[in-house]
Amino acid sequence: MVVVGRVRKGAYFDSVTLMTVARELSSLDGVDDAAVVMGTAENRAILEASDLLVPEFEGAGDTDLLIGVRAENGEVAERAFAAIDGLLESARSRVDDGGEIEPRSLDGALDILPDANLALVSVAGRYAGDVAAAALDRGMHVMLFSDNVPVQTEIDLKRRAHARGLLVMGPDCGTAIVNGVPLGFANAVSRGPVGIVAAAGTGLQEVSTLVSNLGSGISQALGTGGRDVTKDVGGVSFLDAIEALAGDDATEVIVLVSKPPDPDVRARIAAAVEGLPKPVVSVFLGAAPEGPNDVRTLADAAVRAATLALGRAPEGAAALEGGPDTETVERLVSGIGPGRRFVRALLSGGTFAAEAQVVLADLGIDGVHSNAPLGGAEALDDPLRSAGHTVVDLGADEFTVGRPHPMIDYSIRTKRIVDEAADAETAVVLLDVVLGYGSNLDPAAELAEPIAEAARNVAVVCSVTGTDGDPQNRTAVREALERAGAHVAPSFASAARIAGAIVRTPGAE
Amino acid sequence: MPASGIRVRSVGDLVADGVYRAHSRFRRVVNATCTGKLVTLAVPGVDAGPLTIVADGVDPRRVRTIRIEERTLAVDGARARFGDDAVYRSEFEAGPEDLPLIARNLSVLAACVASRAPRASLAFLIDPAKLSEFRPGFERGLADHIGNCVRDIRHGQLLRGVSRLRGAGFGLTPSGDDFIAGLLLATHVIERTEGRDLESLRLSVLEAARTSNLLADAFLLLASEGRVFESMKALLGALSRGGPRDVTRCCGRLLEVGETSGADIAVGLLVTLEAGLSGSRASWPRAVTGRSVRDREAAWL
Repeated sequence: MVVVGRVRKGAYFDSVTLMTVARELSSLDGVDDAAVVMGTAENRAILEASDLLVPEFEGAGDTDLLIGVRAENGEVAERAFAAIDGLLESARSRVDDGGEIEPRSLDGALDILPDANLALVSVAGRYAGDVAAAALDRGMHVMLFSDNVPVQTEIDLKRRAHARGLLVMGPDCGTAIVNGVPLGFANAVSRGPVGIVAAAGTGLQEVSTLVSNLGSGISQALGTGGRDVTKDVGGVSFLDAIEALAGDDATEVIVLVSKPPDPDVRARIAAAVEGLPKPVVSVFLGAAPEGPNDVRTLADAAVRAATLALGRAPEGAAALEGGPDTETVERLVSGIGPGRRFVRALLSGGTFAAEAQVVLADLGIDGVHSNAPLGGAEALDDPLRSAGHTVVDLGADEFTVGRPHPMIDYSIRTKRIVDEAADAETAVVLLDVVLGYGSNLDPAAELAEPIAEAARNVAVVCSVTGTDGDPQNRTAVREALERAGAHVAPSFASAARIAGAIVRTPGAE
Repeated sequence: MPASGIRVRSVGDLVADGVYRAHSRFRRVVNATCTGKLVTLAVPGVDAGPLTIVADGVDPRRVRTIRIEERTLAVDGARARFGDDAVYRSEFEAGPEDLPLIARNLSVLAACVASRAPRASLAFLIDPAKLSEFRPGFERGLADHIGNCVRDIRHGQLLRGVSRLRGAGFGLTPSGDDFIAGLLLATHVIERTEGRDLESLRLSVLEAARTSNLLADAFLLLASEGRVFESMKALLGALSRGGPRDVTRCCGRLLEVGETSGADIAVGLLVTLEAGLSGSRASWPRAVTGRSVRDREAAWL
């Protein structure tokens, strides 16, 4: 072994950088130990005790940097010294990334942005309640992205927020747009007069993007988390959000989006919107419409809201509202192999899983199975195996434990598309493709191959939720999916209607 | 950095007028000197402190000259005025102390440091399991050395321990110096709590810890004078008057200081208060340092 040392005069680095570099030097082949420290007397004494002291260090001062290497031979030691500059620079750039400062606590963040009034909390569910409560204590609204937050914690947080005039969005709130700022899985939509309150994340995305694509825009889009409208939570945030939009000068039309709320909660919502000076459009998927602006699908809600906002029927509305044209359906039916008769919906959005069931039920299609059954649908015995007409929510817990959400990670879905197409009973594979911030950046590249393979025997029908302003660009994704062999509908409801029409068409079997 | 657009958020009450030249630059702070005087210019998010100016619109990595004159900050030509309301008061207040409360709060602080301290800090002095964060060889030798110094301090060999602890550790302000700063701050708490005069003790510690490192010396001098940065001020207040939640929150802020500095200072504070607050020993939870302190130990207090 040899010990070699170098002194760098007046070279300053932080402690983590120096420790990191020393560890990297120590891990080089042939290096037994290494130290990179300031040249204080005590550090020199420790170097001596560690058999890393060399005569060159004797005259060093407290502000000099000492680099000591013990290696199997001089050549190895020199190689280590040759690497030192690169390691120092690399380590410093990792510690000192040159980007924005990342605070490590809520108070640290408030130091940087003392006027912040909203905290987005995304930590493990068991800790999320405390962090959210701390944010509320500091007068901030909360978007609680975390899931697995106990329901009692949710109730406590929302009551505390309500008492202080604050809003808690979530838990499990993946999407919001506040004053034009997209949060979580949101899309790049136009600003405009339509405000959304949603207890359904992908529902919020579908309505907001369709409104934007129809030529109107979004003032605010406030998520509440799906559990908000249950009996236990009582719709606290949903009602608070309605009140917020009612008082928001930028909002002229309000859209409410949810799976069916608890009846008492729905009654409270109805009471809250009654007499509001702004029109309110409601889509409670699977629930019977009660008012003149209650609609059945997300697309219908978007068209109604855009019409109210623009004061006229927007261009493109007809394509969203009408049923599928016969020619399209017949073309798709002609490509389906004999004996195939079922819809297999493989969906990344939970709201779309609900909407698919609503649309299929409206078309009179019975025998629908789902891992998230709604209305008359039956529960799937095994979410991994389809049975009859099947609607699978791939964002359900059984698919997401230990892996990213299916809007990010397509691996389960790409395999299942091929598997479903190989099932001799599958006629249509129905897909949603959700774009936006945080979602998979190149969905077409991942889906093209399985779609092309599936399209040899079945019809592949999908929708693309997003805008051309999204990082993925909706038009580009749509065109790529069509090239792969998919039929891309203008909305998810349209896609579901086409899927239903295919299996109801004589000759599809 | 921009030619204009700097805004002063806080200026430490010990910042002296002068023209300072950059001494050492980091991502969030630049230390600058002027004939033996020191100032730290920092971006928002860094604690206010007795010698710290926190300002928007500066890039510490590019700063060359800092001029402070008549309530005006000039950074390489960009200027901003500041008023009295921007001055940060660095003395910490100590009201009537409640020893059982402090003992309980120190237990909370110890648990917080042990669970949340960054890798390779001095938290191993509280939780020995953390020694495993140090690799065999130099790192482990360093940890053993610091452990021996602190053992000296605990067992009555204060100045011997301090003189061997100073300058021990990685970085420009080594962990040993941070520990000593915590020790010095703890003497102020003990002094105010128990009505004892520990000024001469502090001067001895300061002398034993003196180095040729301007930054380290200034840092320790401030601690000996009871001048503290913002998160330490909040923590000291929480220890004597707050509840567990306050202590945990303030501990979290302190741990954000530097890479390991906040944790290392907290450990120095904890170890010294355990040794020094005699009235509380009977109720002292073992969790604080993992061992009890006998009267003959820490006789220097």
